[in-house]
Amino acid sequence: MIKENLQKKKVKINDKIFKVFILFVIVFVIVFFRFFYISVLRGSLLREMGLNQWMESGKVLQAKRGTIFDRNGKILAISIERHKLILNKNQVKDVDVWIDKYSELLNIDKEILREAFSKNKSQVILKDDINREEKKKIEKFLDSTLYFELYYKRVYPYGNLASYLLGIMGVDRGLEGLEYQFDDILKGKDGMIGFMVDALRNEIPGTEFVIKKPENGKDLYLTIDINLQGMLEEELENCYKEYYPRRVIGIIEDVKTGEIISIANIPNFNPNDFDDFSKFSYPDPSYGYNYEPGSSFKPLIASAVLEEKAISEDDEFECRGYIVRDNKTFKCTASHGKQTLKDLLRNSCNVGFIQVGERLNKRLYYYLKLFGVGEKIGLDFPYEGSGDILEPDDWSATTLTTMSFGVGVTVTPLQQTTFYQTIANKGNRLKPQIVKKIVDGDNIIEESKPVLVKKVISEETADTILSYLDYVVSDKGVKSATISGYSIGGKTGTAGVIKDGKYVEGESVLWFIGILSCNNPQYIITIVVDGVRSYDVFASGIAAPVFRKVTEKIINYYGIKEDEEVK
Amino acid sequence: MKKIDYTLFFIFIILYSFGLLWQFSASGVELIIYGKMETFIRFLIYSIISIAAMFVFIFIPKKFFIKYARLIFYISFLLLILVYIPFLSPNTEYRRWISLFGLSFQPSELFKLALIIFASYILSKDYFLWEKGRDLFPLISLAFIGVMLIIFETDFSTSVLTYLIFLSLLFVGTYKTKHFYIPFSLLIFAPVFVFLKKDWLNRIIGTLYPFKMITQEGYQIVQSLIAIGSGGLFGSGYMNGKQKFLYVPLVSKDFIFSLICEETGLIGGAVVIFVYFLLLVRGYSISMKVSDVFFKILSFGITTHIFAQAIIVIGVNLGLFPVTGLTLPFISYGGSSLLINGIEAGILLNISRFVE
Repeated sequence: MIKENLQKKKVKINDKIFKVFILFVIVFVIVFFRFFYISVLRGSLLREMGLNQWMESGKVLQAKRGTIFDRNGKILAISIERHKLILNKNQVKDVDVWIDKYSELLNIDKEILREAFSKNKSQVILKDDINREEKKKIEKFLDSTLYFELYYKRVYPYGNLASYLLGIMGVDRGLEGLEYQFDDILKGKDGMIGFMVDALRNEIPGTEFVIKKPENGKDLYLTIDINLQGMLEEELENCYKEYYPRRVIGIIEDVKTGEIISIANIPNFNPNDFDDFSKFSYPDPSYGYNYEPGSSFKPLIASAVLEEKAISEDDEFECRGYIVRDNKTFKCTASHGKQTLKDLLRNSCNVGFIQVGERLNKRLYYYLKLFGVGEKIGLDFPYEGSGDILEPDDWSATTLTTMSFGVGVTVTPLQQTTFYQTIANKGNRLKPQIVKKIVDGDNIIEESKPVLVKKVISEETADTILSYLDYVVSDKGVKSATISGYSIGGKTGTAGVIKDGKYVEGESVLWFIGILSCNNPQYIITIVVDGVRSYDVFASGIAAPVFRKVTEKIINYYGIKEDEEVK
Repeated sequence: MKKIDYTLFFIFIILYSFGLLWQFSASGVELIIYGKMETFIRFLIYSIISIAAMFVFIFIPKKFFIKYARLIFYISFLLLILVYIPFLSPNTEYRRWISLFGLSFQPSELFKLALIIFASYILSKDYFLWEKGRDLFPLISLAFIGVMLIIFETDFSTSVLTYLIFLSLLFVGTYKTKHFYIPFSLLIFAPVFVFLKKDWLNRIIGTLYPFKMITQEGYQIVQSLIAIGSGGLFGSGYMNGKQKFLYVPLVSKDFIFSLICEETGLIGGAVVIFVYFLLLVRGYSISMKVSDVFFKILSFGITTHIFAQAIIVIGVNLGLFPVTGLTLPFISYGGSSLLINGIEAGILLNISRFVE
């Protein structure tokens, strides 16, 4: 009886257990539906909320700045990988122990480390400019308290060479020169790294992900030949050291293409040393400064008058040593007597050229404009000079008079170079080129080709003037510029130094623009000696020898054959 | 003597493994931020002790429980009172732990098990003697006082859970329905205690409108939901959870389930729930098959405890219930609960040997 009852009770207990089980199944189902609702139906929304609170973007993945090469692929400016060693103070438990340990390992003074800890920042740069080898050494004992950050350092392997042209980099952008002008092309686009943070907004290690890949900058190939640049600068330097002018400028341009092979100023700075750079100012004098051309302007006058057919080659002009215009007496270097245009140029006769200019009158302005006087060349240089020329309506009684011998008008050394290039290239004015090509990885994005700006004078006129320039230098002309075997052409010029609209007492600008060579025009070489402290000097004595030495080096370097051999 | 239920044994091993896996994952935060793994190492030690306890309790004979049920219960009752002695309980806001010689223990965890054993003993005794509830009044009274003591330790959820388990034992084990329904009706007073502490009410409101109280009481729930929701179907991968990085507070304790879901998704979370459900089925089937009434009720009580606590904690993680201080059995960090879980597992396996 009891046993039977007990059995019944047990069955009853089991029934009740089953009831509780059913209750739990119901709860289980409810929980499961809720679970499904949260993780699947509301999942994307909640995930977004999560991402919003975890993700932090803002770490910049630096793009590598493009390299600047010379025409032969030699590196003129390059960004190299460097690392900063950064201390993460949050990870340091015992400051004193840490300092004791790492002062020795890192070879950093304890005081400096202590100072780093006193700074009110959680991340402190301990060391920068760390190269790959050094980094490997440090990496051996790296822990969570230290980490590296990559950055790029701009290095100019050739130091001072072409420094004015190349310019300089600031912290993250080009400040001057080509670095500034081509900043957008060179700099590339920085990438972005995202990372996850904990609830206290500290980065969770190992959660970095790339939001945007960096696009490295494009490379620039210049028309510059750094070897020749070096030779040019060496000669300019020698001149500078001998006469101590304010500066010496030199430009070498390819006649047929307009490519600038070298362009230099002495003195110049070392772009690897920012302090050195800060002693210099821009614009680059070789294309940014305006100078009176003096007599070196006369070939332009001669070109214009022949092109206009205002005189014939045989017309003679008389020089009695002076001429009076507007009650002013304009002296000549000598009493040259009767001369044709050819001789006027060789004698650099101001009196004669005043008369030539008068034949042209206001038409002179038209021709000078054709040559590009008063106009920016349109090289993409910052602060490019344009030179100054008065419009005919603004001319005073003596403007034409002085302009005929290159006074009262200004040009940049680079402009002067192009004028001579035009004459040497059958009257075809080409745009000077400084960038040969822009390269992105293996793809050439842009390649420069000779750009004809204008046909300034006829081939006939140009060749005539070219032969005159040959005559100017040859035989008993500018002896200091002659190179035997080569029909060097060229013209000297001496002018006053203008500063703030006034002539500087006792200082001169000396020009020599030469052509290698008149029979086979290949290069224009312009030398400007700015601010020689004396009136007793002549361009033929200072500028022309520099020209000759540079030209001899070009001949050597390129192995240019003598004119006779060419024929 | 028959063999233990290996399926059940396997279920416990799986649960212990889950605990070790995700305590390790959660400790990644500690490792990265503080450079140590103390919590995980402690958990590892607790787990070893817990598993050892499990093995010990497989072999403890029935007469031990019968003999000491009353004593164990009184001791656990006494420990609940000790919590109120200030120098034994350093945490003044939540008086849940007794600390002595650097070891701390949560008496309410022991009380839960002691009550299950004691109630099983009384209820089974009642069956044999047909005394129709002669001992029931003191049992119910003591259980009720114990639960009150826990409530005033400011542990609302443990007290409610303990009382619910106790009620389920009464439901199953009493002969007359009034012996269940009278104590059951006392539950209507539970809401009164919500007002005992201000943040209990806030927690309930926070559960109802978590996204409106995102910076206050809703914070924990929202963060838990973000973890579960961002895990999606398959999760972000083991060790890859982000919410554990201080977003979800107490991730190794109350919210370990959210971490599992974030890292293994709906699939992983479902596996966990399913394992607990399997435990429920297995536990109840033992309970239904075992002929000894004491073992029947005891195994029922233990199974109910583990599953109820698990489903409540999972519900908390899912924003179904207000935030509690309860642990996910075998998985959450907590020495006392892990030890008790181990003993419970041992007892269940012990009883499984007597299944007919």
